[in-house]
Amino acid sequence: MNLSIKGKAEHTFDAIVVGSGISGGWAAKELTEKGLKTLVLERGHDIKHISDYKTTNSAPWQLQWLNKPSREMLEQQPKQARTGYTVRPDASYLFVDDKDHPYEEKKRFDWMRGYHTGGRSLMWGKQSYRLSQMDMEANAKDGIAIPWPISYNELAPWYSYVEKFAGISGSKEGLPQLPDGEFQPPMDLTPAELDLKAAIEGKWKGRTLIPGRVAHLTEPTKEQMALGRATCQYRNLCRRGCPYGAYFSSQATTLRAAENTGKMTLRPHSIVHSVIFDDKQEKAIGVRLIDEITMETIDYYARIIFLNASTVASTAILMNSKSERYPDGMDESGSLGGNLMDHHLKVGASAVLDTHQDRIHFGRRPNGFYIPRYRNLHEKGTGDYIRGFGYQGGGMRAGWSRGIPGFGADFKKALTSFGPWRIGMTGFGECLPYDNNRISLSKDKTDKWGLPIVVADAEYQENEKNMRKDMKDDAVEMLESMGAKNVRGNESECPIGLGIHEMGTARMGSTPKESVLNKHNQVWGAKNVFCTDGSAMVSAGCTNPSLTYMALTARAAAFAVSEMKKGNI
Amino acid sequence: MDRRELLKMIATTVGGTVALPESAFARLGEPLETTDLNYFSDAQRAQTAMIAEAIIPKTDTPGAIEAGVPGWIEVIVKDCFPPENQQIILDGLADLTMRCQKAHGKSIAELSPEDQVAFLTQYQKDTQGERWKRSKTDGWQPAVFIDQFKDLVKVCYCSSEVGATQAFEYHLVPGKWVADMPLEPGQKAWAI
Repeated sequence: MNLSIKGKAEHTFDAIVVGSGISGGWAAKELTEKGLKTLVLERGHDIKHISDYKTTNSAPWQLQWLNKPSREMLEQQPKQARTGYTVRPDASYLFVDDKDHPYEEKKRFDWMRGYHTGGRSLMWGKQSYRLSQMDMEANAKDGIAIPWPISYNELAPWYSYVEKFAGISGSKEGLPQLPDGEFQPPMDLTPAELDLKAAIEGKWKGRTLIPGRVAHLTEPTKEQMALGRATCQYRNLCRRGCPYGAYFSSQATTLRAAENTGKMTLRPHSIVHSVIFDDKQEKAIGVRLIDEITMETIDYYARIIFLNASTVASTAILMNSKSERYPDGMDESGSLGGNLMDHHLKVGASAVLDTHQDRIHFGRRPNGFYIPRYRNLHEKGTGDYIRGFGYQGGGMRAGWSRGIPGFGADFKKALTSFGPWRIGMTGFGECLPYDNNRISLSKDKTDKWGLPIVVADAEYQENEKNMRKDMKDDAVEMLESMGAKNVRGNESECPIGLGIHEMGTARMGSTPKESVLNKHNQVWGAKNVFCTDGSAMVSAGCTNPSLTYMALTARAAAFAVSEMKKGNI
Repeated sequence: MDRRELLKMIATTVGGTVALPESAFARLGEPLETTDLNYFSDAQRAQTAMIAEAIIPKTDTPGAIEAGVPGWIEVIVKDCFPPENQQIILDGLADLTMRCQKAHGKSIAELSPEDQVAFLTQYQKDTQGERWKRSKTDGWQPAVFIDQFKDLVKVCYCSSEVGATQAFEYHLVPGKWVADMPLEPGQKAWAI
């Protein structure tokens, strides 16, 4: 492509950020606030804060099919529908059309994607936990994969930094396996949850139950209010977009801050094809994109490039970025594409209580309780596995969706009354990094923009499978310990991807022989290219990972700007 | 139109072709228009309304018909149900109507409330038993008509504007989270 000098100037920025989701938004905020003229590329359509949240105030009866998915929707989004909750009239437009965005599955891989401004920061679960020192030392200790190149202590101040801005509701607990952070007031536990907490703390030393730590404002700061954010209104309609900006989404927080600097240009419909690496200068000079609508190929130039397209997607870009130096994509270690991780779930237990019949709750808490990991810490696992799991759950009065026998006036009376307290929990288990859990690019299949499609070839292995018995049995035992009735364990198939916590595939490390990124999230050999989304993860822990992406991104952005000022990049 | 008049009118439609009045479908929320109601025959539409009202009758709060449940059922069966379950609904409407005629010599809408409940309970027991027998020879069987239909009536009623705001207490914006408070007499359950 030939550009005039003026054209080239219009296409030149200080920094380019690929992706506008949880980590891309942070890169945009940090880089613009440090004075860099930044181009943010979003592959999908633009969604404006509040005005584009088209179902945010819809009552159930104002949603098509009372929010049931139609046959047509399920045919259009068969893979996005695999969760059972993503494809519904209220928010299915925030998940991709599988026909336009195909990928290949050597083994089943449930890949939930949101291609629009804000990415999955609009629909995420918002549970926000720090990795612990134990988590970050586990690979080294177990001799698994490679060690993290940074310690918890190096990341801790960045966790604090992002927590203060994002706003995390939670309680300080002093647990070594789940470090405390900068919290706004926690969301109270219900009587059923407090009973469970008392029962398990009484019976097992080292087990506890705490309010979920969640990226919602419960006591907004001046900074948060200045961005137009307000305290949580307990609607629990979060995934439709929050008109109060109460939970952390890019739109409500980081992109707003970036926009306020006047330094950000957001370009939607921009599907990044590759990073342009200049072999003579031994660095990247920009990115090549394909306009989603016009199909034009367009180049943009910058001194710093941040890849925040999401796990798998950022890796696909690196794989497609070929040069003399990197004939097979931007990696020389052979680890690019490997070590795909997620959290395995779909296992736990539920029960009902015959107590507290005269107590109820009000409001819809977008949160629940959390039981931090205890297996292979205070208590050894009973099966042959290393690492462990945590639980997320809730204890609430059952609503009308419960099974109620009968017909007529008596049935109606029961239906419109509060059901019993019901309590349940789901395990989130750590997945080890395996070199053979891989994604690659198809050699013969391309999407409608001519880009090679992603091929997934990954599955949970023995360690994950062996953990699931404890995940089920412990949940049953804990519910039984509180005297709950009808305690039922549950377990169903959980393919990789279903946790929507994809991690790995472009890991950080200490040497270019073993990793794609160095300890500052720079691509080895292309030090002005950073990747700070979930791709960078070296191990998964068993807690929700997004807060770590935020911290890694803020840390890498500060480093990138300081290196730029020193003239190193 | 009051309930008695409506039921009288429905009663005359069994096996016939008289359509339900518009008012039975008046409270359907925004996206549902009467032009969407083009799936059931007039008889099936009337049967849907009668059975739905027998499952959730008008008491001190509105019943299924006043809540617009029959219309919602029609569009959901039409657009959301897989073909095999659509057929279960269509066959079930006719089957229930026929068995009710056989057992009582009249339509379900004409039975007393007690007889409606007794008939539906027996019908559920019979068809579940038939399903169990079929499953022994033919393997897994989908849920029977009355179970699928009851579930539809429940979801549509509880999600409807009338149901959610009159039989339940609905708050679009609760504004606060109270984890523990007393259940006062007369407090309706939360709609969502």
